[in-house]
Amino acid sequence: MRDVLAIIERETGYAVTGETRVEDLGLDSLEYLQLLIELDTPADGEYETVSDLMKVHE
Amino acid sequence: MIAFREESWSSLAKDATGGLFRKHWEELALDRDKIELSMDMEKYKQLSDSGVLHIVTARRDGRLVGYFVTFLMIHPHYKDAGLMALTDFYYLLPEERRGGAGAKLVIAMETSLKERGVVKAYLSCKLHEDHTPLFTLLGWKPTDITFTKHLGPK
Repeated sequence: MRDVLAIIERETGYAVTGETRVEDLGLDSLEYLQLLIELDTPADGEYETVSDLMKVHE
Repeated sequence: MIAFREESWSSLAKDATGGLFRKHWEELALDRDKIELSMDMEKYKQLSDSGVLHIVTARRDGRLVGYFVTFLMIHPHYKDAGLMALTDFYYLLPEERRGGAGAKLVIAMETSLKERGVVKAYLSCKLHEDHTPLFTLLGWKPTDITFTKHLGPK
């Protein structure tokens, strides 16, 4: 779980929590997809918050 | 959060005419000094009524912020291959191009086309608004370059 936060922080430069909205990460579509690949997370899921990304790896 | 869903032409036209269609044209169309935007709404309605038109919209809290429109057809070169989709136009408001919304719109379109039984889809982008890295990452393969030339009297 901490890995997901660390990867997002590394890739985006933002300090994030589970409540951080994915829309607020400042990513364009290409960066968004690259982040999902980095997180080994399916691109067709709905991820409103960082917590939703973390749930994929629970 | 943006919601993506399949919609009818009448629904898209109601919310995009004079708004998004115009913004889309102003941002991306070429030769705007020679060819004015003049969408044939009746033609689109006919295509919609005959099942040719396939539309996925992007809406934030119900407000239209983008769309992806394709034509569904049995390609005359490949009459036994199954249904194919040819992209007509797509757009997402500039202020909504964050959080992967563009990628999600393409994915939603793909998912919807698969549900309709489409076996192959064609998609293009402007060279001055090149989405090749994005589309490639989504599994699309660049295959053609389109050339245009204005031949009209203006």
